[in-house]
Amino acid sequence: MYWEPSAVINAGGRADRLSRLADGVLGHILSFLPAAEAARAAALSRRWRHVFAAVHAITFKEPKRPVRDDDDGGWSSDDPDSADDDDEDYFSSSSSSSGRYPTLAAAVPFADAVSAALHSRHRGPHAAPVPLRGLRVEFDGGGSDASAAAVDSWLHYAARNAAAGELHVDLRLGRRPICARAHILRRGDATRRPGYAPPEACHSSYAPPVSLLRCAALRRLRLASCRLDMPDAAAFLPALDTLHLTRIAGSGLAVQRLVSTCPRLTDLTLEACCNLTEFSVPGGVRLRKLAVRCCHDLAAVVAADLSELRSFEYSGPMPGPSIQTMNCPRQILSCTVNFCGVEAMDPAELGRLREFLLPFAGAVNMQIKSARLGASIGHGVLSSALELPCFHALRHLELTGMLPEDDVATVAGLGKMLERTPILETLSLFFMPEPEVSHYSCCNEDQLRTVHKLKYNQNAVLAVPEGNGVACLRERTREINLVHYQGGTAQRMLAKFLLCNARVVGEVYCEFARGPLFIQTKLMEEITGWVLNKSAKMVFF
Amino acid sequence: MASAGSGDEKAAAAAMITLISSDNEKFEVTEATATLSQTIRHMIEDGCTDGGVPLPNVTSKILARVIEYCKKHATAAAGEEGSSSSFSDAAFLEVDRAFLEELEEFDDAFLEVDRATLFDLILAANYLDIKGLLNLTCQKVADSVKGKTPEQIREMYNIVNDLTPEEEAEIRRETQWAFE
Repeated sequence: MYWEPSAVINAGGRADRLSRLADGVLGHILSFLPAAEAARAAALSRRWRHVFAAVHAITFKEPKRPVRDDDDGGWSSDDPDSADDDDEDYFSSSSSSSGRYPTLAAAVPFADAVSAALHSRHRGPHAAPVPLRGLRVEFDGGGSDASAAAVDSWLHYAARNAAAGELHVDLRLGRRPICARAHILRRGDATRRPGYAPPEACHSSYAPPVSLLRCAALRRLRLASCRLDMPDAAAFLPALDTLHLTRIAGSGLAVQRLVSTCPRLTDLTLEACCNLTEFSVPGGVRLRKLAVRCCHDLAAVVAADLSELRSFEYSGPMPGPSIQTMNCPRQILSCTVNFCGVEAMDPAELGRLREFLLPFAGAVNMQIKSARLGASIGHGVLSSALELPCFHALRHLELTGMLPEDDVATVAGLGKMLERTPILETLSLFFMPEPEVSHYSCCNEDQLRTVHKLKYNQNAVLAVPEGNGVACLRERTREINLVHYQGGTAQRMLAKFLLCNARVVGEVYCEFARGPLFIQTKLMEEITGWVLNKSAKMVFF
Repeated sequence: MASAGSGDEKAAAAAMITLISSDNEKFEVTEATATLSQTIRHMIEDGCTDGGVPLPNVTSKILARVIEYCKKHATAAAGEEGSSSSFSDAAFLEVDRAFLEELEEFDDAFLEVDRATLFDLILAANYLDIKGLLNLTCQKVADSVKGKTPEQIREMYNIVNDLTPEEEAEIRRETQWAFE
């Protein structure tokens, strides 16, 4: 019964070693492919005819459709991706329909294909197919009543045919972006642009069946654009360790209930759940990873025990929900924050920012993205360094945001912030371009020259704050990255401050905003002059 | 290798296992490395590893590569397990981050092999039940056929089409949903 694998190839040279693999291995290989491709392998040769029964992960992804235009409820059909042959029927029929689910015409054949694929697993000489380990289906318009019965049947099927403790279900019945809020700076008292796009509500009426929500084999679950209406004790997911919920309709309480039925949960992501105002992680659940993205009404996260948390991610309005926990994370590896929408300027809101960051002050990696670079640090109450938490373990800091020409306060604020990061090794600053009337469609060379972002005013006075007190720059910071550097006064002040004080820096990377070479050269010479440690490697793009 | 230091030290105290390839070459590995293989883990649990574990399906050339993979990934697993117990040690977090990147690079480089070796690795990973290695190698084969027509796949892997036109038509009819 033993064989010598290499002998086969030596004999033939052009032997078909792939077909010689066992069914289980071939099924495993095909499980990495979309279901239709895996099933088409049946036509390779007789050997392959029934291999599909050994495929343990069924993946269906409907090709992406053009983005829906929220203003008129219509579809822009100029997206080149929509030119697939498959989509033609869909477009001709949808243009005449005016229903809420213009994808209906396509959704039904798509749903049929998924059902047929599951059915195909049972064809062939084998008594039963291998247990199912993965079911991933992504399509638009899945929330309609027409496909609900089909979706139900897949989930029943998955729950019944699951491999013990290994089932991964990923069901996305809509795939619109989760957040429509752009980063906007406040100028003085007036906002530059009117408020937000309206809240992106979930219209889906599809609720997954109880058979799924009580599936003991379910290890990972992702649901997007579904509804959860959970009566008491409807769900119990003893094996679930990863849960990802996107745009869930129904009351926020249902989300809360579902989470409370997952004793082994370690990785939780909540996205665009607009009904969620308060969320509490049940006692006994020890999360290692928590991501809350654009649940814009979320005001508070209450967790009994966050001591095992290693990674935290938040996006949403500034200053973020209040985080209430008895046990703060003991050692947090990464903290990623993205404050979308209009920046906060209200002193009370800025004050809450401190409380929001406090539980994660022990992070090793931190990324903060906000309309204004550094989340309005230096403005309002955070202008005093003592108001900031001490980021005692922080090694890598990445800040993304706009730094307007005259924003001296932010430069000073960042200087103070660096006093609170004693062991910082890498500092990366991404200067977001400020929005303006768009001229990008022009193609005239002269016009292009005038709209570029790069500037250099050699008469500007760069009053750099005192930097001797910044221990990390003196002793620890090895790498400084400036990305999309536009050369405005505040940006130059900041760069000068950093580079003139960074005594041990080994690498300086600077990527300039688009603009004429002579300005780039000026800025480059200036930066090179500032770098205190002349042996540092400097790279400009 | 500096990053493997902690794993090796930990393992030094642990028992060693001898693996014997089909061509009778002996490989001494730590238990932590060997137990990445579920097959060997079960043998150890059953106490039948004294005098070495014969692996008549695996040549020394392939076994050496498999062990290389397991050593690397055992260190990673040790780091992951250790993470809950050594919170006070801030240094390991740095290792963690850098090591994950290193591991990815290792995997990429590991897959730079000819097709015959790739198949031998798949067979060995399947026989030894090493989940990570089986995923890695099978994914590579899957990537190579992705988006290809049946004819291109046959060409690539020397598959002889022994289906009659009738059978082919039947397959297309049975799995029409996949051919649309």
